[in-house]
Amino acid sequence: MLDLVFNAGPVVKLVLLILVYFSLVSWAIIFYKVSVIQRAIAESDRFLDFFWAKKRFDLVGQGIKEFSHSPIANLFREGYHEMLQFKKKNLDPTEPGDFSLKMDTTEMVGRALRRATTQETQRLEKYLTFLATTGSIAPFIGLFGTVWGIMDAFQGIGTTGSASLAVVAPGISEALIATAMGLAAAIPAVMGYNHFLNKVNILIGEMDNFSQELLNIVERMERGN
Amino acid sequence: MESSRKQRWQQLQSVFEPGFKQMLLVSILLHLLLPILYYAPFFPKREIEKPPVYRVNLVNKIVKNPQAGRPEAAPVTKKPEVKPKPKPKPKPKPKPVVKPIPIPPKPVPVKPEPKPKPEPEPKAVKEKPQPKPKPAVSKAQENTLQQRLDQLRAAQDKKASEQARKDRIAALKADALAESSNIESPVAEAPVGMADGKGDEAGVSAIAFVQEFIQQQWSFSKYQASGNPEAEVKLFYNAAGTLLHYKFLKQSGNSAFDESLTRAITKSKQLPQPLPQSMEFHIFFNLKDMLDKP
Repeated sequence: MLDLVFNAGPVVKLVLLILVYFSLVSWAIIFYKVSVIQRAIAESDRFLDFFWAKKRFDLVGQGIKEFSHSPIANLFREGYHEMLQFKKKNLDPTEPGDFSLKMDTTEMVGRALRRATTQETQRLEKYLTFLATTGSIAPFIGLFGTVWGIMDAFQGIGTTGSASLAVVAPGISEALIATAMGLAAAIPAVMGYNHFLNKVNILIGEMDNFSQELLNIVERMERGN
Repeated sequence: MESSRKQRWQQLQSVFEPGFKQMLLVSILLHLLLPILYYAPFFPKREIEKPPVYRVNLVNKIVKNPQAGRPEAAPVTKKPEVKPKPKPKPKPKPKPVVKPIPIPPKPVPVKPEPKPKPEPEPKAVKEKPQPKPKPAVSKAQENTLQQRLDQLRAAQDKKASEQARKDRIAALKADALAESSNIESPVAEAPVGMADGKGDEAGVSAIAFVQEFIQQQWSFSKYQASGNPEAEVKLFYNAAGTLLHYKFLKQSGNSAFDESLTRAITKSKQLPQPLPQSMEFHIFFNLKDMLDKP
């Protein structure tokens, strides 16, 4: 099988090289994303338990350092940070130029949470586009290599004037390895892409839910005040 | 706040997130592992099997001292029939008239495929060698009438024997066909060697192989020569099977025959298989023998 690779023409070799690159990077992304997303989900789960157990923002804020990989914990950190700043500014209204004065806390926290959600989504979805790209174009690149290889093979037949199976078969076999590599790169990439997209969507849903709940709590606190 | 925003921005733009490089390394290692796994024994290999090529004398390894057996392995039970064949060069030309229609024996050492004989025939072969007379040299001294008569008879003889031989070949072929259909795997049972083998190596005798190969390159019309010319040639092949030099130790006396031999030897200057070592062969080329080849 390796002979096929080494005997291939320069264009087919280039195609194979590109495909190997795609395969390498997409597998690296798959491994990376598996670890990142698994950790994100597990830590988010633990954080939510922690959050509902503590029932106090300052206690949660103290323990938040444990959950640095959870997007929901990051959401809470952003919202809490915003709240603290708001409180600080309200307690010390000596800075007339500050644009956070006299604003609605819920709205401020809500914006901070939305921004944090966007950031976390971007972080979670990073690299996934590469998987999508690999999944869609690797077969085409492979096909290109095959077509090129078969063109070469037919040219060889034309020059030798012999069209027996023994002459045709090795060239076609050489050419087909490009398609095989393209598919080998594309299949895991597509599977990984769909899997991770599903997980990321679940996390985004969780982040949205948490944002709403946090905002509810903040609003209740404000009304209570 | 500002610094954390910058940090996030940088992280989003960066090619390698922390931890991604390790994963890239893992991926590279896994990809390198793939060809190693491919060549490891637990991946069933799909070898492209070449169709077996059968060329009678080339099937077996060429050895210097072949053991007793058959060039093409066949059941052991057949061996006794092959062995009693006469070893010396048959010279069937000058036959007395009283003799029953002779069947010129096959030249055993060069025969690619020993043919099991039908039952009655081996007897005929066995009794034949005894009444063998002296070659034509002695005859030359007799009177010319006798010579002419003999020649005529020899020609007649030859015709008859040829007919008989053809019949026999047909019978043998039918026999061999029947035999091959009966026997499941003859190769498995018989020792590989030569009928006259005395050595201890499994394979075919080098001299038989060379003689057979030269004979395959040989073309001659039997009308170009009369009688039974015989030439002795010394050939020296190196281990790669290349002819280094050759020499006629004995000319046959028939220039056409000698020339045909020279042509055949020139064509055989490269054997299709290497020899076990550099070897020198003394080969007798006998016209009758060579024409007898089916």
